[in-house]
Amino acid sequence: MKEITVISGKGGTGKTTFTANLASLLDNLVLGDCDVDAPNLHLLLNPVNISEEIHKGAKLAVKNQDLCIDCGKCYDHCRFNAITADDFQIKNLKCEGCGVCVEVCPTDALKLEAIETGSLYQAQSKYGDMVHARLIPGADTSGKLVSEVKKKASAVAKEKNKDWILIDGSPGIGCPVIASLTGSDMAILVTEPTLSGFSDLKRVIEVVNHFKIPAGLGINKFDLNEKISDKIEAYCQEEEIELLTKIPYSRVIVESLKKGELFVDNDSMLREKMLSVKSKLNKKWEDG
Amino acid sequence: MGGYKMKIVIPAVEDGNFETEIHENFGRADYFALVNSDNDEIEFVKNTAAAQSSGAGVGAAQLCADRGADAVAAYHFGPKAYKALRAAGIEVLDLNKQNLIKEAYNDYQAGKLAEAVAGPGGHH
Amino acid sequence: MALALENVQLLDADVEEPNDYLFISPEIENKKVESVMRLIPEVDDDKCTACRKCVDFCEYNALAMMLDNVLVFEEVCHSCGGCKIVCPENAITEKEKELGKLRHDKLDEIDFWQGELNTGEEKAVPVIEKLKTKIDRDKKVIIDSPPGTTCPTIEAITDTDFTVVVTEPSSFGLHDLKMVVEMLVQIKQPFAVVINRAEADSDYLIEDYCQEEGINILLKIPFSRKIAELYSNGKPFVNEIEGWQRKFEKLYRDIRKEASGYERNNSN
Repeated sequence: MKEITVISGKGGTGKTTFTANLASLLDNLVLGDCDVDAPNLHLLLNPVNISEEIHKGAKLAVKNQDLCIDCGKCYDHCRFNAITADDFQIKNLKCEGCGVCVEVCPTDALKLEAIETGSLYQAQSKYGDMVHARLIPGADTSGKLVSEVKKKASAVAKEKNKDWILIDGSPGIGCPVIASLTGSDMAILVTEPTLSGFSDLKRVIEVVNHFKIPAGLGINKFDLNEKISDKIEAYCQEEEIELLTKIPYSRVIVESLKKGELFVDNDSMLREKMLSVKSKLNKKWEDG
Repeated sequence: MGGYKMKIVIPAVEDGNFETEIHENFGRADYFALVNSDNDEIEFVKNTAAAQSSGAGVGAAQLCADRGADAVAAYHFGPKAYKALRAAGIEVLDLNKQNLIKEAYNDYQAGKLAEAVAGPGGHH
Repeated sequence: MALALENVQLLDADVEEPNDYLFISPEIENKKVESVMRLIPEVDDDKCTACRKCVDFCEYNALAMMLDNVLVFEEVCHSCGGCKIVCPENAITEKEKELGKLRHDKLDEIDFWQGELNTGEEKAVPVIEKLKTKIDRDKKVIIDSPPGTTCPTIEAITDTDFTVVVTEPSSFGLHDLKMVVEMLVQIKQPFAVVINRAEADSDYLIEDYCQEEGINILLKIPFSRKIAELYSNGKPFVNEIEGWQRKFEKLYRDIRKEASGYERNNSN
């Protein structure tokens, strides 16, 4: 069983589209969508949810109005502007759950309560089992929900004896990405040939190197700017990152996405490209 | 390092025994296996830090320190967990090929575990 | 849009990944800098009795007690000041630490401010709050907000007159648009949509949804390889392609109209 995590550094490089198309070509797999802030994998793979678990990832201050004596101490001490000045109510979107107001309240009118910040879903798709999650607006991502997606995906993989765990990783380089990468056998970096894309790619390579996880590269829309694309290739070659594929700027990909379809089903050249990625992955573990 | 009483902590996937699998995380491990190196006694403790949204590594390190750990062995330590464990004078050891608690423990007894380095943070 | 107008103030509030400078002020690194500070606890070991009240209080695991010394983990500290309050020995004081920076460049028609979160820091909101103190309402103020629906985005758009949501006509675009709309409705923020990479045969994805929800679409920027190429090289297409100057000027007028219409409807 091998775990592959697809990451990008910068968002919007086509990571999820890449992941979905690759998934359709792999056999016996379980998918995990760790991009919990803006999960998109399900839009292409149309999973049917089997179960939902509520995720409680944060705490908010809650007031018992009966005990409140309107002293305003909570307002005086709150550093997040989360308490209204006139009637001392909690502004949920601003509250960071720090507990200071709870501490200073002379009548114990306030307490911290865990709140629902999202959901974790176990699902079935045409291409395999899928685990995904969603955060509610205003909730902050943490490594925790991502870890839970990974944990469930691993459990399903073990239970059903899967050959592949394919993770659509979080964008960026923060805790969610690290949580996406932990324990993976390989990282696939999907990038685009732009100044901002290249700069973010370099940062994510630092993370991958530290984990000593072998990495492969996919350049999306490479012919949009071949100069930058070549620079990226050269850089990755120096970093010993294998070039898995270069995908051209393609109408077919755009059209397929619009219809919620996989581009590998609509164009044989593109399908070949993704099949070559698959065979490179297979070869990697054959050779050991 | 055998010969005198040392407590080593290894992250575990469940409350089990020496045949239990090692958890791939430290901070978010479900359980910790605590083994006394003088009598090979093993106990499991739930990792309460795993449920927290932030600083799980620090919380887990605190738990290990509070339980009197002398050494902790894991696949990967985040920089905060690493800093916290070192500040407590706890040895931080690297796991790589071991799968089960007993394998990590045997390698520990045999002095085969190398010192770990801190991993990349969410925040560099 | 900022480049098409006069007497503009542009604030880049995407503090984790500010990119506007590529198009507006590529030399921004050399311009004036202002620090954004936050408070971090400092423990006086002489006064500390290792009672652990601060460690137990902290919701973020920013404090740990190792060998009777309190360790502070600045990256996850939320600067709430709670540890200082609970310490029975007054052993905790606070020191300032730089959280981020504001950079400023004054060009002919654009007063440009960039907010940046320092590498290693997590809390974007205070940087955005400080950035917003620079708002000069005598100018046309445009804020480039971080993407998504989390706290930094909400902070960037709170207390502004209008929000423009840029989306694209695909299932991904529609899905994310719905999430953003949910958030905007929750905070009662007036808004309208601009479709980027618009195309005749797929705009319906966004148009149908907007029609159902009564959301106005103010502008469509077509899918264009030329625009994408210019972008990849940091060139703003409004300066390079004929006719866009006027289109963005009109966009601004339409936004003004929408915003004041909303005000009128809601001031009763």
